[in-house]
Amino acid sequence: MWHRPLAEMLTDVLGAVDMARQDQIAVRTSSIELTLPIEVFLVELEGETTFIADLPVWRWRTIFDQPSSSLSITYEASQT
Amino acid sequence: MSNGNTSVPIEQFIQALQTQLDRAQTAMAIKAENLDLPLTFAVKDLSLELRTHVEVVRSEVRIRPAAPGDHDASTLHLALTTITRPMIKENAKAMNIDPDEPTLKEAVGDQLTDEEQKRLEWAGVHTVSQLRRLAGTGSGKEVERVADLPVDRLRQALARASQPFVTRIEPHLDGESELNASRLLRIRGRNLVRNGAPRVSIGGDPVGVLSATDKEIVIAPQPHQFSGMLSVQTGPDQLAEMMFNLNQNTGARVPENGADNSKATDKETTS
Repeated sequence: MWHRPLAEMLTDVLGAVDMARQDQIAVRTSSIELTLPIEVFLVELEGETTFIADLPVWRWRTIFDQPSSSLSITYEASQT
Repeated sequence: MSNGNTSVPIEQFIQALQTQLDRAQTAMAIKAENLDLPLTFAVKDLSLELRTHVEVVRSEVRIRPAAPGDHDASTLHLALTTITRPMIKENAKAMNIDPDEPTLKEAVGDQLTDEEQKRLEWAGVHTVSQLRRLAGTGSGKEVERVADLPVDRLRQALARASQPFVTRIEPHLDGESELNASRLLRIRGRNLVRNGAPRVSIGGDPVGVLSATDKEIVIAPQPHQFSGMLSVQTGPDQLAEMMFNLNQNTGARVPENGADNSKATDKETTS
């Protein structure tokens, strides 16, 4: 299966945005809002139900693809 | 790994989603710490529009993500937001449950099916005391409607849950002299009192009851009554029995520190 658990996808996407943020000098990012099309599966991994949610593999939908769901997530900057 | 087409209970689905959000949060925190970043990002709000099938299987709501070609799937809108610890406390209903209280399943045994117990949980009835309270307030009809469970079945379950039940018989040592400890026994269990002190007998002979509460009875058996079949009767058809043998723990052989080697043995029956 090509799809990854939600945590991995979110960490990758947010990590990429965060990398871009670190190059900024004059502007500080206070929040990040993402709306992403996702394909969702529930699978049994190591004895627990895992929420698999990843970006669609293909740009164009076919009848063999799962109906696309949508995830909107807002992150707020916080001090470490 | 399954093919992802299996359905799971909705609680399990939400838990799986939460686990992933926690993992993503932990990963971000570790990254910020390792890279010595002054700022990190925390999830504030999440909204999910999930194409799914909602099914009810044996009184359990289950969801199954839509598969390719499932054009008639439902759309489940789920919105999550972060709340602070004080908000959790404000919104969480105190679970006023005695940790020693048996679960509904333990108390009613096979009197109710798993499905019937699940329907009762839907109606907010998780313990015997909650079931008893419902019966006491005359809310049986409401439960019958909400949980789809006939009042007669509820009454039967309540009767089963009200049966006396003995879990343990041991020497009574609390603050007593060794002499007294050698003569007294403590019976632990539940529903041990009903309309007055219970009748206790060992091997068919009555035994003096010194004190009795719902969970504990202290008895003064005769020297020959430290083993045999103990019977506790709280009313007609309300009988609990247990075989025990504490002969080795009587007299000078009772350890001064009250070391626990006195578990009641053999079989336990409730009729």
